[in-house]
Amino acid sequence: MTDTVSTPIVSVEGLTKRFGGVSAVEELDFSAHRGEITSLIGPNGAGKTTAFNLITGLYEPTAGSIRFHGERTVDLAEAVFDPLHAAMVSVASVGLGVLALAIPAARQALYHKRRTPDTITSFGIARTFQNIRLFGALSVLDNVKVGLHGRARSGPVDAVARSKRHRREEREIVSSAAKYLDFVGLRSRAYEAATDLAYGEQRRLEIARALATGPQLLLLDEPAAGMNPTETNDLMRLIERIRAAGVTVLLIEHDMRFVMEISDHIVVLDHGRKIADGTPAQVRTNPEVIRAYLGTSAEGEAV
Amino acid sequence: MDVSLFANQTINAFTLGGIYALIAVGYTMVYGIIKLINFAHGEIYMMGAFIGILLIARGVPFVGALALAMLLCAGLGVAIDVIAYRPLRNAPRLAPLITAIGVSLFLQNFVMLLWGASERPFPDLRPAFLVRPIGAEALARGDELLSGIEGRLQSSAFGRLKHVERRGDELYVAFRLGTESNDTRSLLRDARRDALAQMRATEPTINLDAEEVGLEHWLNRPAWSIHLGGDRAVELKWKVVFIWIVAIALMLALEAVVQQTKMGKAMRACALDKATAALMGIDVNKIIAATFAIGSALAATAGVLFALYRGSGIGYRMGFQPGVFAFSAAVLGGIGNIRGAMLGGVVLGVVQVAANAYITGWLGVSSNYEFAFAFGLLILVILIRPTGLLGRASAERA
Amino acid sequence: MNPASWARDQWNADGGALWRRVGIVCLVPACLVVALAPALPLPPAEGARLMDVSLLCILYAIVALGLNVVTGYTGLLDLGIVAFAAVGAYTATILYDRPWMQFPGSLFVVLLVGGLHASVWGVLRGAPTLRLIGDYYAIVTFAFAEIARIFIRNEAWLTGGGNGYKNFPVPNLLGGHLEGGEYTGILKTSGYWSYPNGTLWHGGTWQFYYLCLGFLLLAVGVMWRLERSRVGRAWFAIKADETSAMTSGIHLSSLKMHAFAVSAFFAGVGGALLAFRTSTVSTNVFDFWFSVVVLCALVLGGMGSIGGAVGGTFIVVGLGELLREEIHMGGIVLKVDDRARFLFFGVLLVIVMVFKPQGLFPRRVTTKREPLDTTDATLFQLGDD
Repeated sequence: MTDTVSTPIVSVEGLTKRFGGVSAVEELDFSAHRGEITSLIGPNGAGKTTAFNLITGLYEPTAGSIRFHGERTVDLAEAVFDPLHAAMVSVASVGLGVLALAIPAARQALYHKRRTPDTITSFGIARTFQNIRLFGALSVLDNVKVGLHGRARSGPVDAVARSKRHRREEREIVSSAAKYLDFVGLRSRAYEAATDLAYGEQRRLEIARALATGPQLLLLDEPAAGMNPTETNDLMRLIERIRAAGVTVLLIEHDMRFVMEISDHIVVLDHGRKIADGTPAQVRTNPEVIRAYLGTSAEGEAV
Repeated sequence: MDVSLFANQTINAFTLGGIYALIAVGYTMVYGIIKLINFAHGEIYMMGAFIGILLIARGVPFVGALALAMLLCAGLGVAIDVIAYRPLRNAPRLAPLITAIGVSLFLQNFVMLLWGASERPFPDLRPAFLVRPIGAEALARGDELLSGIEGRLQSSAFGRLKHVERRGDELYVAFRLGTESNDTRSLLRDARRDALAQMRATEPTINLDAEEVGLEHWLNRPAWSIHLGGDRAVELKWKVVFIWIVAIALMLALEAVVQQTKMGKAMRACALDKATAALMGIDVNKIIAATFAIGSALAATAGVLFALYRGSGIGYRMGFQPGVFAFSAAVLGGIGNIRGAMLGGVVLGVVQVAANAYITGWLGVSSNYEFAFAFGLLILVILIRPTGLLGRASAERA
Repeated sequence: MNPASWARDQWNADGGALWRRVGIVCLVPACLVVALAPALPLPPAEGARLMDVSLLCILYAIVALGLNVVTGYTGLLDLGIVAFAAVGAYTATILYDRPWMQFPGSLFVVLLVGGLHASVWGVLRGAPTLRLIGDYYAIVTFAFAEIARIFIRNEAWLTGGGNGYKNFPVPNLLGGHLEGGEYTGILKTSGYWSYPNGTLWHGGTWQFYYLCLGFLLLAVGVMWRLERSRVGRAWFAIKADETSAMTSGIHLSSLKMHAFAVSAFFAGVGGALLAFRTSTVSTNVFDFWFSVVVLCALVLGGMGSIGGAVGGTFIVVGLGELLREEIHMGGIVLKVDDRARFLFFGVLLVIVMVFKPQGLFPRRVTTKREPLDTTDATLFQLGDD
């Protein structure tokens, strides 16, 4: 793993998102490096979750690029040719849309769409949410199986016919899901309803579901929120193990002890802009950061 | 293009539009606060029409019947909210929607069982006639003729006769309120025929004329008309004027209530954020109940006005189509937006009438497709501009 | 406290255990009756009526299973399932009426074509509505169904218009055809089936009954397998949370399209069989209230549950048919008006939604609890720790 350190896995450049006239993220530049744990911190409303939503494709950026260096390098922010969308536009325009294929600008406008979140997930980016978003009506095991969805191929016909591919994939899915549950320590709870788990367990299940998509980059949105110190310590160990297993972690967190202890690299946002970027030691002493947090802040004293 | 047809269709379109707007306001207010498509709203409109005509038929004056229908339907709306929707306030959003369909089914069939499956006409409003002899000969024997017709009516009208009076050479005959229109006319016609038959044995040239003079007649008279030569004419009937006045007055009153009063402010607060409104000391359930009451009262008014306008076709299934159209109107105007619902109602009325009178003809399809156009418009609006014509652009949540 | 909420709490106090017991006790005899309806030793009139009602329930259950895919699994309220039932019914019967369709087994061909045609419309209706959720989706489905109904009523050259499409051949089972007698669904008592090999079959149309039962079992089997597959899980995930379904790698558009196609297919086949049952197709049967009855059945049974869709249909449609009977109580004859059955459906919908929103036979979170084997964990990529 050491050889990959310091090569960026995702690099964000000039990323801007405006809602109406309000800009949630403005000209944001940062990168997360392979094998590292990068933290995104900042006061409430600084644009951290918006940045996550932009990276995972839930929001469409107003401007900027998000380069993801996975199997190959792709700009997650760009619009690409979408055959299904193109077919629908063509049908909706009674076939006239086909003419637009000949004009590059029109083709771009009509047939190109931003990648959907599932495509971005398939590139190798997974995430969890600030307010845990599990599939409550499903069992713990099924939640993880859904995470494995994008890594199998069998469709409805396979399922109905119980094709060879379906049976093989189902075997793989169950086994792998069990391993992922093992990884987060929830295997014994596999057949319970996801909503029956305790809060900390739900967090871990959400992480297991995200890991099941086979990510190279895992985005965690306030994973330690609402946890007691023991749970937080367990979580820290889990994140360390995730990193050790070769997954790069980008996280948002308010718990400064947690952030300072676990991060290799910290990016500080305020009002949608980056105000600091560096190692925990560098960020801790940065006057801008101290001003952003309460003027002379607790962090300043904690140094 | 036939100008008179166009003008008459325009009047028709705006009348229907006003009625749709009155219903749409109820949809949009309820949706604005509890995010529920109140499928039972069309049925409240139907109940309003039924209560209205039944009261009128029992002799209650029109305005009183309208007020009572509004009041009873307001109560019904609140009752539906308390029984069917309130227990589901925190349930998944599909639950109250399905319940609403259930309430709609219940009300329709309840009305059918209670008041029958056949369609009813609108009862005559204060029907009255002036009967006068025609010609010198008849005038000379007027007394005799009119006494004959009076006696005949007295004996056959079974108490439906309210008032008979001699006014010089004429006989003023007033029927009781709520006597069904065709009934009174045929009663009068038969009496006249009998009286004439008695006279004609000796004097074959005698004739009697009966002129309608009641409120019903007055409402059906043109308030304004232009003749365009031939039998083409543009007519604006008094009852249309009346419907417009009532609709506009109620809309203005609603605007005043929502914008000016404390309750209106509480409603707007609940529509924005129920939880915060509750924290501010607003009794949210009471405000929701008030919303149902106001919406239902307006729907009841729409029902009575529609019954008056069409004069027939009041049946247990009458709420379905206007209900759907009014909902479309609410979506068209921007659901949750009261002014939008008013505008949407008028647009829907215009679309329906235009589709019936013109568009289907241009396309060479049956005019039965008029409803398909309204539904098509609904789908298009939802797909292309779900926030409606006047709806605020929904800010994405950060 | 609101009396309705209080009553609901009382009702749910025992955690639904009572209902489970009642359900199991009723289930076995009910299944037996349905399976053996044509063979039960009953007086002819009662036997035929039982078979007729049971058949109707079976056919509605097929449509309900179709509706369950979109509304129960994927969580999109569909108020226009009737459109697909009608497309299936008209397509199958109009095709079956063509002279070149008169060959042994052609019934299966037209059923398949009817289902597929419905499926095509399911996708066509679904494609533009992919972004819509909740009420807006429901309204589009409703409006689409109304437009379809207006089309069917007005294009009499194709569909027979308001009078319905009639006089198509009765189901050609095993190459036989009906001779003599009047075919009125399952109640046919005169005439006979004549087969190419010269045999004649007198009596009822039990073949059609078992054909339909077979289709129901097939539909249940298909749903059972889909539910437990990658696609089924994705549908449930979409219902639970579209956003996290997307970030879990589920392509919403194509998964929803799958659901629309499967749903419309089963609704279409169910609708086509319903048409063959009565030898007539008409918008008087396939109207908005058809959708409501099916939805009512699904809600009562439990959305997202196969048992719920089938059980709910048997309760709603069966009870609905029971209400059509004249009930003799002492000297009094009780006859409920045909349309008034909907009153009962309406009350049922409200009561179930208020008191037991998950339905009578809700889907259980998990059924099997076998130990987990990890030998094939090829997709696990976090190393062995």
